[in-house]
Amino acid sequence: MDFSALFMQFLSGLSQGMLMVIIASGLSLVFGTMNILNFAHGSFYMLGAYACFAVVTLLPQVTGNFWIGLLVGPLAVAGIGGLIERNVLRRVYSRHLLDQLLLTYAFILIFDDVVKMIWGIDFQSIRMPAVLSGKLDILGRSLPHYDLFLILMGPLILAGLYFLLQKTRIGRVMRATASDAEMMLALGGNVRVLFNRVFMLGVWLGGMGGALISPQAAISPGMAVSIIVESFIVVVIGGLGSFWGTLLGAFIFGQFNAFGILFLPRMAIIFPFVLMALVLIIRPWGLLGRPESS
Amino acid sequence: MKKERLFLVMGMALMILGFVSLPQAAEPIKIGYVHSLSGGGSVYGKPCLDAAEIAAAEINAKGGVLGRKIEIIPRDDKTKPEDGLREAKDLVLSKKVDYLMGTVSSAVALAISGFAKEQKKIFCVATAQSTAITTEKGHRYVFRISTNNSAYCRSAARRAAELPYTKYYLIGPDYEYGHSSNKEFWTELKRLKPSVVLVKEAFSPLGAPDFKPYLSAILASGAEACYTSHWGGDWIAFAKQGKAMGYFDKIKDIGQDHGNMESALALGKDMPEGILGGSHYPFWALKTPKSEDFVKKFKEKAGMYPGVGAAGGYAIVYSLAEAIAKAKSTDTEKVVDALETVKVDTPVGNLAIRKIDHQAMWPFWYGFTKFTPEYPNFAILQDVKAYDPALVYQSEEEIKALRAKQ
Repeated sequence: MDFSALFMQFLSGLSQGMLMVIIASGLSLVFGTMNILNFAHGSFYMLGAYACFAVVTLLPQVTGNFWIGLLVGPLAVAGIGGLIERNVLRRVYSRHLLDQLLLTYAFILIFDDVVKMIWGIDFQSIRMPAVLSGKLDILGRSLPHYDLFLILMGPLILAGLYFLLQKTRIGRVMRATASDAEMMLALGGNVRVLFNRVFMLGVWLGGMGGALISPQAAISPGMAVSIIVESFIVVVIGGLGSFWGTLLGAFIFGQFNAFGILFLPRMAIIFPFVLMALVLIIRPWGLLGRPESS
Repeated sequence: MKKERLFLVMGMALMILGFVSLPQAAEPIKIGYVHSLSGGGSVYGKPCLDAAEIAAAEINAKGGVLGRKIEIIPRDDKTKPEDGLREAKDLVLSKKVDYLMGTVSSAVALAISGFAKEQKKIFCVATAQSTAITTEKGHRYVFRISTNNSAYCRSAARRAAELPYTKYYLIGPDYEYGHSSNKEFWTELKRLKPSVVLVKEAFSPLGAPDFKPYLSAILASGAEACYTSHWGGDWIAFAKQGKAMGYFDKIKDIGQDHGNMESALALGKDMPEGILGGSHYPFWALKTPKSEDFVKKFKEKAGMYPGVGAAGGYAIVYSLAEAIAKAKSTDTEKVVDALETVKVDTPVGNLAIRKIDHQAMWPFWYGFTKFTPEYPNFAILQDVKAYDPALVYQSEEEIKALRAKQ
């Protein structure tokens, strides 16, 4: 096998990994700060795709309608997330983890049905934006511009998130809350509002992932389920709640998957799961996560 | 006291009226229709019902069968065997339907088929494609008036054998359907053209959003052609990402769902051209008066072009009507015998039902995708060709061997 094929496989895996990092960092952020395992994260990813689709179909004649969808769609989904946090999720923070899981799982079913009622059960699809519909020739093989765009979007959004967490006041408050919410409350921090913003940001990341994949995939009510499993694998490998861990987890996930498919296609499906199982045995807190202190 | 007597009189009057009115208006022949009318499967279930109702209306307009009208009683199976079975039981036991038809899910079909066998009621499978329904699990009262999985895999293999490619990659969704489709295709292709080589085979999780690693792996494998048993959302994602990558310019892609109406409409302009796809009912190529008339009526009623669900629903109602007319009776046993011998004029041509497995000899067409001015919103298959059904459905020996293993 020549170098160009290996390189191409690397880029395929990278493009998948960079999309995953956007989605999974939302899941990880919400868990890290709020200690909530949001099972409905995949639904926000699905809603992001549908919101982008809705904008595109509402503005069929407008050039750049996809970009408007990419901007507006995830923001709208973040708004829905904010409402859910404020009215529903807030009530179960003190409850057992199982209650939180059941509640967020219920949202998967609810959103699936809502989506069916609005857009029906048919597969929907958005055309690739014209500017990104070409392809780049690398060593005699071609990489679609859109994949290049995905590969760049991951680090870009992650850098923005890093800047927010490290360099801004709200970011410092978030990190402080993540390490000790009760102390933050004692010091007079408004943890309620903060949790709401964090949840919205996490949901925005999920919605962004869905909007970004929408020109490349079929938009359908079932799309929430497969992505949530993959997102969990990514954050378990990297370390739940760890910023760099999610990036590392997504990168490893993409590459393991891509090279598994290249060399052992019949068994490729199990590679990410084997990897996750290994991590759980050797470092249960994830590659870059911190072990739970007593 | 007075009230009770009044009720008694009224009741008796009603009974008498009931008896008297019987010979005047003949009871309709009732067909219980159990299919997916909600959820993902309704893409097939709703058009199938529309088409069945068109057929019933046509027959009734000509005076019905044996002087009786045909009535279709629809029920939703929600694509779940328990629901389907419950609805079928209710239709037979309390609605007293004469025949059953429907289902897209093979699991639902098998559940209803078991009940039909026990009750000795005819059940005509409309859309479900698992071969087991008519082979291993076949019995006197179950019929399938549609294609089956083996027919479209073997038709694909026949067409592929005529193409110059020898190095094949196989890919499909990672569950029973994907595995068995790929195996069926490959076994037949290897038999017809022993020079073919299997480069590699891959399975992707059902509903996977990202096919790029698969596409780049196929491109790197040295394969010339790829057989893809993906359908629905998987196929749409595969096609869009493959088109962006230039995959379809380098690999001849072959698949049974590539010519399917539902996928063609969802993909629209993103459908790659020149790939080899299958269709149960290529209405654009079948220019018979029967088919053209059906397409026109179906578009008026359903507001869309007919796909696999529609053609099946229409053919079943006509097959039952012809068999009843031939048997001169609605009696189950006589109608079963008649169904085994009738030839029915349907939109896909003259259909006969084989005695050994009660499978309609429904052809399956393959052709290459192409955009034409006549249908601007979706790609059609050009240069379509179907093989003699006797060549693509399992042979009598195969069916006997499968049943012997049971």
